[in-house]
Amino acid sequence: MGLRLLVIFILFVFLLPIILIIPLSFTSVAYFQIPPPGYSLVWYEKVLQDPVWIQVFSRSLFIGAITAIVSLVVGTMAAVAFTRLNFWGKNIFLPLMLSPMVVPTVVVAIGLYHFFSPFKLADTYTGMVLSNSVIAIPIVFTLVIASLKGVDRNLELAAMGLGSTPIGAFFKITVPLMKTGLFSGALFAFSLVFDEPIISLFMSGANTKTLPIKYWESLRTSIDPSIAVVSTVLIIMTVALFLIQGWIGSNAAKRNVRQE
Amino acid sequence: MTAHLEIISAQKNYKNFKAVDNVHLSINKGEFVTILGPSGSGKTTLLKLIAGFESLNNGAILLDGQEITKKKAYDRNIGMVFQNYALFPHMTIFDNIAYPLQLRKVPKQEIKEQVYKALQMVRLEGFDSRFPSQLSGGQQQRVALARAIVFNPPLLLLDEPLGALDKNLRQQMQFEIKHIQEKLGITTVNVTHDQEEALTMSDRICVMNHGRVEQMDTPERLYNCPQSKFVSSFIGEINWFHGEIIHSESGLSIVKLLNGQVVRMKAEQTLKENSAVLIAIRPENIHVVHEGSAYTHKYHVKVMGKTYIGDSFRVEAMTDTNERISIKLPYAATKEMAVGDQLEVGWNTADASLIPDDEAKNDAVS
Repeated sequence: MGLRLLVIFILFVFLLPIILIIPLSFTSVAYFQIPPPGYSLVWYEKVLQDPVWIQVFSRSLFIGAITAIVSLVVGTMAAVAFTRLNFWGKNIFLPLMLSPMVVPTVVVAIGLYHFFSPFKLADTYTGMVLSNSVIAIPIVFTLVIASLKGVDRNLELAAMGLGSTPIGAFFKITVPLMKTGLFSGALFAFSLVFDEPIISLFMSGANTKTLPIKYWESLRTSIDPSIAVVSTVLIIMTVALFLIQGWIGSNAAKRNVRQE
Repeated sequence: MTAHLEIISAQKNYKNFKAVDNVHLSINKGEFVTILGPSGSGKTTLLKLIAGFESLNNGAILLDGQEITKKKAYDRNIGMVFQNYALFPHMTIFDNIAYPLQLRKVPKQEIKEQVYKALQMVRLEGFDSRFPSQLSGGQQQRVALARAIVFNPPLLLLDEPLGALDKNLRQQMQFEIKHIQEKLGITTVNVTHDQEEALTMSDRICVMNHGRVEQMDTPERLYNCPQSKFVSSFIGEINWFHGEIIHSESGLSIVKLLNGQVVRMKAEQTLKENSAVLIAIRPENIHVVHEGSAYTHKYHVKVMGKTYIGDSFRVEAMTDTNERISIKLPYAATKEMAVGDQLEVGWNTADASLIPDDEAKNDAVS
């Protein structure tokens, strides 16, 4: 009973600041006050009519999606190579792959900026996708390795013995069995574009501003409930994505439970 | 009959370890051959070489007269049942069995017919829409078998297919697999470490040890005429009498035993004079000597203990020359027997086999 109360308390402390944002977005006044003196949809109207918010939001969706695809493909390929193959320098492969996760983001960001500038990649979509992928790939890599280890190698051998090429076996057998890991990886890479400000701060410009930057700017210039509206939309989006992920995961788990 | 599957001086090394060492195998069409050996004997590696999951360092593999040594696993068209069945957990039973047919671009209607035919053969009609996890071990085993034979492969490989099943189910599945194999007339190579499974299912058994083939023979011959110390001890129980060849010519050897007795025996292999040999006799072929019973060789032994083993007693005894032997006797014969008793036992040379004593040879070298 005591433990249960503790858990409820911890959840309360963790979640309250997030949940408080939601009523704030429905406020009728131009400042933050809890509880709001009145409720209305004016701020939703304002955000929806603001071309800058819409543009930044859809741009973030686009860059997020491309980042997710790029880092999923590269991270998965690296993970498959690492778990299934033996190659020269395998021992230093893992620390090298994980280094962007370990090195402080600011350091990575400065490095990327100086590395990308000569190629005219600063303030371009390509630059944004690549730099966000640098951070996302190690995480996709780790997640995919974990789920690859859960896939019995004999299943791939069985598929090949039955007449499938290794590539065919990978897509027909391995990919469906580790889709939970793949989806988590993609989800992480996607959401990185929405909440990782440091890399974007260095790499983006007027043409490639993403949500974290716009957030940052509007916090400095004009604090108004618009930001609560955008936050609420993000919360709903994230919750939805995690529900989908949980649903995929539980479907996979159901099948793997033995009913003997 | 020409060989259907032929393995010629197969060699597979892992660094300095010879997993498969100069193996020759020749298997006839429709034959059920079991590769039997302890773990680490190279039996699974040999199976993987046939399947194409490992590649040979040296030698060749021929199937139906065609060399397949360099072919990829997916081009070999060989059916295989894995130890843990390796059913695809995200596909239904139907999709699992249909998979090899889909890869071969078989028309949909025909796939349906073939899959239902295979399901019927393994007696799993009505299970087509379930997932593997909803099936018992024995049922999963049958699905794996159906998937391996549905595309009519010329060769079926079984990798310890019954290892995960309990004893009753294992015997039932032995019977069923054998039945289906005979019905289809499919050449089958089975790998196991279970001697009973090997003896009951196989037309011929290939006993492997340390990457080499020790002996390949019918189950009867393997049990009654083992050709090496390893084979004699790996299959069933065995007694060894140590001896030395004193004369050998044209298949007949004269052996002097430790107690001075001289035995004349047929030898299947040429044995050098003065070399150390073993005379191997099964426990059930040593009998208590009664008046009037004629045995070619008799021994006086001292009873060391007796154990009840269900249908009979196993009596442990010691010879005058301190060789420990084990005799299988019916209940009636052991009723009055007590530890310390003197006993006269006898055996016939026809029931014994003469094999070289490789360990003694090694001692002599070192």
